[in-house]
Amino acid sequence: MKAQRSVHRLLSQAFPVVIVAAIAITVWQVVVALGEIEPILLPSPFQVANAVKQHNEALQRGFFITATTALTGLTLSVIIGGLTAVLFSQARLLRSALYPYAIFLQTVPIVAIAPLLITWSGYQQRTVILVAMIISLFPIVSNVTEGLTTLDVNLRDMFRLYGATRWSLLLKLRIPSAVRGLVQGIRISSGLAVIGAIVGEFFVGNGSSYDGLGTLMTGWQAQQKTAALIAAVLASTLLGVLMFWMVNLLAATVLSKWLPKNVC
Amino acid sequence: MHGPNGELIRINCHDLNVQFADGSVGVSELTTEFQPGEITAIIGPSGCGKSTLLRAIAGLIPESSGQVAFAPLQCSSASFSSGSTSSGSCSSGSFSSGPFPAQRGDLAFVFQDAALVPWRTARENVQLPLELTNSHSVSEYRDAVTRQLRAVELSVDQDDKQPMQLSGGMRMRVSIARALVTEPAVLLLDEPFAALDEMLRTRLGELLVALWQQRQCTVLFVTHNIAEAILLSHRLVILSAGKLCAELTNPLPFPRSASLRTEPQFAQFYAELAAKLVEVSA
Repeated sequence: MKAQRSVHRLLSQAFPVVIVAAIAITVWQVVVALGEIEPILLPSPFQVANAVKQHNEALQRGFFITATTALTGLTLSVIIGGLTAVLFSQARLLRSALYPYAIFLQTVPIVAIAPLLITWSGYQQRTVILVAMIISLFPIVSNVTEGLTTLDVNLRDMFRLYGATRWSLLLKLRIPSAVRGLVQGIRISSGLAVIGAIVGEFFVGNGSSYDGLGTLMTGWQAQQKTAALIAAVLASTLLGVLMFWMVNLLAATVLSKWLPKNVC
Repeated sequence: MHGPNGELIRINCHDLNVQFADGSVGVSELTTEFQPGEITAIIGPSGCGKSTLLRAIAGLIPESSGQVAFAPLQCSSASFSSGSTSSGSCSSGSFSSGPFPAQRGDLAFVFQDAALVPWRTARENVQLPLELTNSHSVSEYRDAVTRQLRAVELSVDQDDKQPMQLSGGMRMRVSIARALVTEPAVLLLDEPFAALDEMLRTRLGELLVALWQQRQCTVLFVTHNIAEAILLSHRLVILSAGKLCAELTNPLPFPRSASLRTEPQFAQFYAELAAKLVEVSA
């Protein structure tokens, strides 16, 4: 019942978004028709729709590959970032020593290190997953660390009074308290993982057997297939939105128990 | 609700000083004794160190100097009559300034804001101390928790609700049930009813006295409400600027109820206490 309500709420939130998209497509079509713009610069929505139809198989395959890559990268960043945050919460010295490097990782432009990663890992999906993982790691580490270390003072005191072990405190208070931070982190990272996957695919390129949306974009841009290129851009946008919705769905269903309002 | 070996606990504060990192004084040169099996109200103006004293006794704040010591009072079976303590056949054990409680769960604390774990249901919140202290087997959890939930007059349909689904009064009932579930020898309450309306705080005050009458333990109750302090306590301790200013014995007999407010004796003691507080504040 609660899950049904959550799904219903998500659908009602999506409705205005769909309306805005319909208006944007109409304006786009009118601008292209009245402005007599060359299709190579800006094709009409119908031409893009035709490109979708024409390259349907490649787009579907690319969407699936990029989605798999981004999701794998995101999952790895949740596992590695979550475990790192748990370590940070348990050892203040470790946190002081390593947290600045986590921030450093965030400030390094992913475009700058992608070629280096290809040198180390090769022209393959593994490299793209690595890019997606690295770019989406920091929000998980920072948000989960914050959640694990910022406890309600009274609750922490109560656990102390009952002689809670470090393990009990971690399992019964710290980790459940960090679920909110985890969800916030995944929300940010879900979009970043898609960006990381696409950027990684730009670099992995057509030379390999790997053909995600980013690889398709590079190829179609070179062939001046602008309509197909826009179709791939829209597919990657759709992927980003779907990932974000999946996180919200996860928060509203599986994780909802640990996300009540702050009344205690 | 007695100590680990069934005894009551006497609390002794000797020349207790608590100073914070910023240099401000929480408690200053405080020496007093909290009698076993009695309810002591700690009263005084805001910021006078009431909560700090309570937290120092609980071991949540380290004392800068002085000490808090706990001594068990060994009693024969019928030593404590309902509502009044008699040490006729009791003998006081030696004070120990070591970590208390000796057994986890012997000391319980009720916080001002209920401090319930927001993702746990009412039942799971009450069960938490048992999980942390491992004092009961899993099969025993259910009975002990149910008993406490009913004792604080929560209906069965509230058991599986999360704190956000409960009213302020219900949340405080859960908090009291959680504190009592380990049957502590010492119960510390830090302005537990401050956020509740007058009717509810009167009702919960009566409930607290009723629960204490069923299973006596040493209770320290911080409040800034004079009527509440009189209705609930055997003894009153008045603090000002971290110092102990006065100790008064409550002349009103047990059992207590809100109807006592209309008694001349209540009004007389209320006036005496109010005058003392004004004197202390000045």
